[in-house]
Amino acid sequence: MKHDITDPNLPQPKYEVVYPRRQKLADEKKIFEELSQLLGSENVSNREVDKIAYSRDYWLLASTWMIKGKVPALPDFIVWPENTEQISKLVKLANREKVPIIPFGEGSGVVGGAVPVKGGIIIDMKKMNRIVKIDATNLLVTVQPGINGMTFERTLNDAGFTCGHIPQSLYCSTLGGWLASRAAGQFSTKYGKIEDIVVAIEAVLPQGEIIRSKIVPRSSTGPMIEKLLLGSEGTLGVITEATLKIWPYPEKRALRSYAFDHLKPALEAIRRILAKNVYPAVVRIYDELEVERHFSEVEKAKGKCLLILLMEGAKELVELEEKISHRICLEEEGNECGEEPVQHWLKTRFDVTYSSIYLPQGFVGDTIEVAITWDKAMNLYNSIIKTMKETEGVFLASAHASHFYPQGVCFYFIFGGIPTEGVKPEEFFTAVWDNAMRTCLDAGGTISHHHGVGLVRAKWLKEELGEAYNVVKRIKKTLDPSNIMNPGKMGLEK
Amino acid sequence: MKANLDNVLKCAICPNMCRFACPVLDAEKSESTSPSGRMRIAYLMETDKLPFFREAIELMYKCAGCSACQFWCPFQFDVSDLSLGVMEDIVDKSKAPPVVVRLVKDLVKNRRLYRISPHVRGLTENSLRKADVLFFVGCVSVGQLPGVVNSTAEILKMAEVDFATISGQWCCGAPAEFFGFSEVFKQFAERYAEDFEKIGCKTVVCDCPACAYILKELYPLKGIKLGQEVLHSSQFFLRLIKEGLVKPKVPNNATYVFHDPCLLARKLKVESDPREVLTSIPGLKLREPRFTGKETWCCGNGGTVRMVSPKTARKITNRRLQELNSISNFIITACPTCEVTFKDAAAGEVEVFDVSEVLLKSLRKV
Repeated sequence: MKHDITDPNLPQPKYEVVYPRRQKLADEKKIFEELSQLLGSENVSNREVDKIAYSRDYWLLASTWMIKGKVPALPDFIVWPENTEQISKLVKLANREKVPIIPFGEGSGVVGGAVPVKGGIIIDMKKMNRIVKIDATNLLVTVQPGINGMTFERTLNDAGFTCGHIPQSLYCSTLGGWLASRAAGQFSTKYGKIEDIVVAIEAVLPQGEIIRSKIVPRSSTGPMIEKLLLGSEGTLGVITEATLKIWPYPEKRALRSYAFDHLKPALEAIRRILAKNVYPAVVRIYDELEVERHFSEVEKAKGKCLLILLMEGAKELVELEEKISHRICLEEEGNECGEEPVQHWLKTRFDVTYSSIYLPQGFVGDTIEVAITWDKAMNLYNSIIKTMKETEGVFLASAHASHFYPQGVCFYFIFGGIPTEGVKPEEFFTAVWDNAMRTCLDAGGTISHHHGVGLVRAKWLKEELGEAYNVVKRIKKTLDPSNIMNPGKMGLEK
Repeated sequence: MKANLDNVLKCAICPNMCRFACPVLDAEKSESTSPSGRMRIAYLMETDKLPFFREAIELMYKCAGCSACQFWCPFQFDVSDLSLGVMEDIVDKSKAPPVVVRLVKDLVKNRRLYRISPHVRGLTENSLRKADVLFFVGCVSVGQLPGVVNSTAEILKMAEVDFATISGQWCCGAPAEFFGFSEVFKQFAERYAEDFEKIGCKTVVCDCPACAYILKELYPLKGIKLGQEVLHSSQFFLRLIKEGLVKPKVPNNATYVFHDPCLLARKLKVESDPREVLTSIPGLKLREPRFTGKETWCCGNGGTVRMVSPKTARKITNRRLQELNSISNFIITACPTCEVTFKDAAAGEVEVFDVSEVLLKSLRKV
């Protein structure tokens, strides 16, 4: 393996690359020079430290490898374009040279979607991070995709608005990542998921064409081509700008929480609240085990499930939502636990210390988010909890319901354990995932609610989509005949 | 190994929850310069998976030392603290960047970073005179901002404070510590412990937040506990005002924007004192930038980034200067390094003052 360490006397790196390159680039030097000419030499790198930095995203298996001194996969180049035209030219170059290109935001994805498994050019979008326009009249913001989530939301807040898209990764993800993985935020029961929030996009397609959708409230002019890019995880193009809905910053916020003896009445309470057309911004229901882990100080919730509600918006509406929600929760025999659990959640909602604490101790775990209609929800919950425990070594299997619709719910499962002797972490990891995916499909759920497909769910996409999988493959082949856009992902190459 | 490998690893496998607050990442936009990105490289080097090579070593020094990461870190890690152990290992392997080695060698030879400016008035003559208060003059102010030294001394005199300075004062040792030369740093700390004892002072007043932080927090970590109260000058000025020993009387009707120095606001947790001093001046209007208090933004000259990447440091400076300048052409800060940095970058387009300079104007008619 060639490394770009200039001093020949230095010892060679000893780290293992999990997905080693199978094919060498035809002319690495020539491509590097062309990239430098196109983007400026300060915007192109093939340095060892950069290759390592872009070898992974926040896929937990990658962290497990990191601890053992392994890196998932090395790109050949990293580039930082500054405008859409550069990206268009870059894509044309990659097509000509048959070099993969992988769009990259801030690498917070958890399914390996940004790992350069076939090498190629990482397009880091962080230099395209400008808020182009905040339009107070039409309640729109036009923004470049490389902007950090926290920077974006705070800038809006300073101007008196919110986008309402607050994922747990807010601090460490970009708008481009949200769009590419069709993300959902914690406040999405009220504000919607990213596909509900986005109004228009500009994107570069795999052969360099630039498409822009109109900034209009709605249109009935054929298929929504631009929405193909949402959830395409970099396999169908590069999103270069987006216009999103914004809302006046909420004037009131109300916090409520209730303990329920079981998960079922808690889910029923939310189903009934949403059926009234009442949409609290945040709704979360924690099962008994998660209450023990996260809300152990809530006396009334000991051994029970806990529902937390956060309503926000215009004062009169919030008061009404609060009143209706409260009545229904009591009717479903919820026991009021006050504001404190919600305050606690607000304080700890971005806490991601678990992986840093437990992975170095040999713990292997992950989160699995799936969605299902109300009628099948309890069966899905029970079945996945049961199946996650079936893999030897698993000692943690719990869930909370994290996103809600009048039609159903998203469960966010968490598993963890220590592989038994002789079992590799990746074998353990895959065994639990396989059981969960199989069970989810059998129960009638969708295998991902908001984390996406990436590498982790790639082998399950065909069964998930049915005949539509072949349509997606045909679309991919038509738009990207050379398969340069984020190859090796989403199971589209089978 | 000096690096705390457990903590380096914790940071390395975090998804970079502090990334939006890191001025170096903001300037460079590269994952390798992100806090976690740097710690991943550090972890691979420290576990012998990567050699200590130039690019990787320089990354360890690409830190503004601003502690902005700590404010958002779920573990409350300060990546500059985590980097310190790694830098010490780099120094132990004699692999520190040449520019850093040169600076530390000069520091050891000259005992301070800059020659004393000829415009500094008579401060260094009082060799170890017994006094209640020691005015500890920072390298940057004594070398490049004589106005700060002179204003501070003048205010102390007006308040009839019994103060001394140290003849031929050394640097506090901050650069040696921040660059991983902890043994060199210890020599400076040991010397001061002796000097302070001889002077018999009860309070040490520093015009530089780095000196105050080093004396107050880092000397004790090296086992050198000073018996004195260590204050930043803005804290001491507020005390003088509250005790009625100086009274700002001369109106100043200008509008200023205040820039919090990182070490003062974050490490020493001093935010309100300089503001209280300034708002006690009749007529003075003080505006705040978006990034203020504990959320201040580095001036670009903190930590070690400037040593290995002046271009990155300049980008950081320009971003902050632009933000401040959008509020007022008159910037007040409380750190000589920030002041010099802004003055150099602004090239006369904005005026930059130390708290001491603005306070002094209100104490006497110019």
